[in-house]
Amino acid sequence: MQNILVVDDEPDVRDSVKYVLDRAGYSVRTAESAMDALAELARNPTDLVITDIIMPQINGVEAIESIRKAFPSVRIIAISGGGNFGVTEYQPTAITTTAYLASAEKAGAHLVLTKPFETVELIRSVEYVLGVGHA
Amino acid sequence: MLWLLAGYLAVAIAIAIILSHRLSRPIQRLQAVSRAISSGDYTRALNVNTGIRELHALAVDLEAMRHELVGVNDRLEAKIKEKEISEVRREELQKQLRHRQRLETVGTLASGIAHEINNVLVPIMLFTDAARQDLPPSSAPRANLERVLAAARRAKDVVKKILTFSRELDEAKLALIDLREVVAEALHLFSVLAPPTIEIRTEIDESLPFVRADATLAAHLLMNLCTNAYQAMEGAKGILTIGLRYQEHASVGRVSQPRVEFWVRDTGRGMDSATVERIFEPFFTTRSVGQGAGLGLSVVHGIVESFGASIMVESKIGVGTTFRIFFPAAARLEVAGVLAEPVV
Repeated sequence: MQNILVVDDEPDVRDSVKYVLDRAGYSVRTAESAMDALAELARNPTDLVITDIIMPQINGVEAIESIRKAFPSVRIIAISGGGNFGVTEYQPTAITTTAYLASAEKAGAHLVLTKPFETVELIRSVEYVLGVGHA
Repeated sequence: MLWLLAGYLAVAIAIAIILSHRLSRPIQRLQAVSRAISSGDYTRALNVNTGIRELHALAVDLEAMRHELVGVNDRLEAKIKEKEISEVRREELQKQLRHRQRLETVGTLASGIAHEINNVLVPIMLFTDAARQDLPPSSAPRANLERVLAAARRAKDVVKKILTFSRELDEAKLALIDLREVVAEALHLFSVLAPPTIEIRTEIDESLPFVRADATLAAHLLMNLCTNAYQAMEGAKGILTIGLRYQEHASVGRVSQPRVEFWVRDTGRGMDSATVERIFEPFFTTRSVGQGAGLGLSVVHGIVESFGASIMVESKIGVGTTFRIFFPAAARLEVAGVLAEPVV
């Protein structure tokens, strides 16, 4: 069974993503911040991290960079619903989901997904990223 | 002897009369002109011809003074006018700046709200879909959950629209563009989309100055107005007219300014004055629920203002509606300067 770590500061987002992926047959754990996620990654083997971009303290883009460095075999999906928080740090002119996700991709995410997404979109994205990882 | 004396006296009187006449006429004339000047009339020239040297010199000096006054007056008037124009320009610029700031605030707010709503929609969509899958295919709760899911998708679309609009406004780059090109491109697209019941006509001036606008947003604006016109004529035959013309002396506020007028006219249902008044409000719509969020014309208004242009609506029930947009025409010098620049 493949291990997935869902990182989001919103409990409802975390729980609903975990619920869908549990039902799809994955072993899913959650973390509420990038710091928690890095600690969790060090503790347990993980195949895929699904992380939000806009989070307090360490944002998703920085988290992705750290994960790519410390755990290069872990696959990453970035999720974001847009917004304008801390935007100057990576995309001075952008306030859009696309821009956040583009920075996430640049930082090393294997796939980016715009919130909100359908069940089928989520499952297919996970299958795709994990499938590519094993190919 | 007495006769001789009388003769001398008569001659002396005649000389005195002639002398006093020669002296008083130029003085009277000088007086008349100086009175005219003091009452604000500087136009009367002082042409005093007199044989008396002192009087002549006085007249020449006065005429020089009058001339100087005329010059000072003209310069003052020009300065006042210049000041008035720059005051109007300053007001216009301040208005544009205030609007720009308002747009930025709206953009920031919109993207903040979008982020929140998108986060809320994730559990709604995922949990609803999971619960739906657990129910038998023909059950009523399953049908209800499908409706919840459809509503969530609609909310997602509205948020996407708001984000797209605020991004477009944020990224708008004003450049000198030819509106005829924008119209040609949009017409090409719209003629494919429009139903055959609608006849499309154009009334476009041969020669038009450039306007300062963003080409993408201008196309967006035109498509929104055309869609609106087409919806107003839905279910019936109609004519959609797109026009462009140059107005050299369009009065805008206190200043007469060259403008490019752009209009979209339909022969649709028309609107009453209460509807016209609210037509640019966000989320105001006359269409039934589910046929659009009512963002189209508020988007049009936002775009028009971001160009420093203005928009007006004329409508009559049963006759149709015309939207007119007035773009400030770019000055010839400005155009020449830009055209002379190398295209990078």
